[in-house]
Amino acid sequence: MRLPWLVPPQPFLGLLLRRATVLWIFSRMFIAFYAVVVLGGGLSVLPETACLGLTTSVALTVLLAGLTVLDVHRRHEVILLANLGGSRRGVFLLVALPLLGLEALTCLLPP
Amino acid sequence: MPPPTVNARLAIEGVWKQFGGRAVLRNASVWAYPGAVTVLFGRNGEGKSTLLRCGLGLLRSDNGVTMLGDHRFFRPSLSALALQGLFFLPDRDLFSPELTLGRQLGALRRRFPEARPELLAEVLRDPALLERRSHELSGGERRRAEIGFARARAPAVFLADEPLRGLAPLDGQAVADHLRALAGDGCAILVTGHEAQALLDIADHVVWMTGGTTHHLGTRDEALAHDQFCFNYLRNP
Repeated sequence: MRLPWLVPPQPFLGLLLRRATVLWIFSRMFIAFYAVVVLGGGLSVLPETACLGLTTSVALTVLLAGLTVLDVHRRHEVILLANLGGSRRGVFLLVALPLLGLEALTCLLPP
Repeated sequence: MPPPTVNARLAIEGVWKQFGGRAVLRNASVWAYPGAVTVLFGRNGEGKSTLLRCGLGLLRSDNGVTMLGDHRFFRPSLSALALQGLFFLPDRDLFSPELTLGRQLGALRRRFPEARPELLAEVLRDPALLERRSHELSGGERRRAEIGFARARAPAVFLADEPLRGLAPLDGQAVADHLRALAGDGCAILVTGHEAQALLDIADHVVWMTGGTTHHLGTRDEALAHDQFCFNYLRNP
């Protein structure tokens, strides 16, 4: 079925996922740095920053997916993607679902 | 000229748009016909690009409808229109700066199996350019690549916002020839621009936008016989 919010084809699919993953890694590093250094928790709090809880994880995912969509705008790629049948909503969902998966994965990691 | 909606493949009709209380579009309409080039002229700030963007859903209009073939869109989106055979060329920067033209062409072929990728290489004249990124091309090469990408898509409807802007006369002529060739393939074309001579040479239908609304002037010869258009836009006596 062809949906109006169809996700973009390769290589854009991989490109968007790579950008979102890089954003996620940096934001996770920032959270860890903030907890350990800025809040002065020391290395002992590091395992606690892995699993942020459902609300924070969802909020982080929405924020990062939104930033990825904004990045598509900033790079003037939105019209090309639309010409290929991909919409902003499609990009958002495409990015948000794997990020949620990564968030779930970090909660499953052993401390 | 036939009545506007008859035989039109694309119709953007009755578009109203205000920005901060200032009406930019007032019941503006434009049509594109299979195998024909429609040129939308108008002074800077009259709302040509706004009309296209409202019709494609890139801007939300206050009122208006877009019809593409048998499909009617009250809240159009470019992605939905693209899946129905429309291709839009913005006034600048179509390509992603991160990928080579060849890889972006690959995406086009994956999404639209009916695409004809060989046409991009033909328009570019140098297949080696497919290995470059868009910022590694000159302005003329980039515009040719964008037109070639559109030709490779083999769209049913092609909209271009100022496709000749910033091009040297010879490059502009080449782009105009490709637009004509695209129309020759049966595509319905709608373009905007200020390069009056080059665009009038390829125009089958001329539309003049002034005061936020559109005036359908008919053929090139009919437009050139329109006193107000000649005086107020072309500045010919």
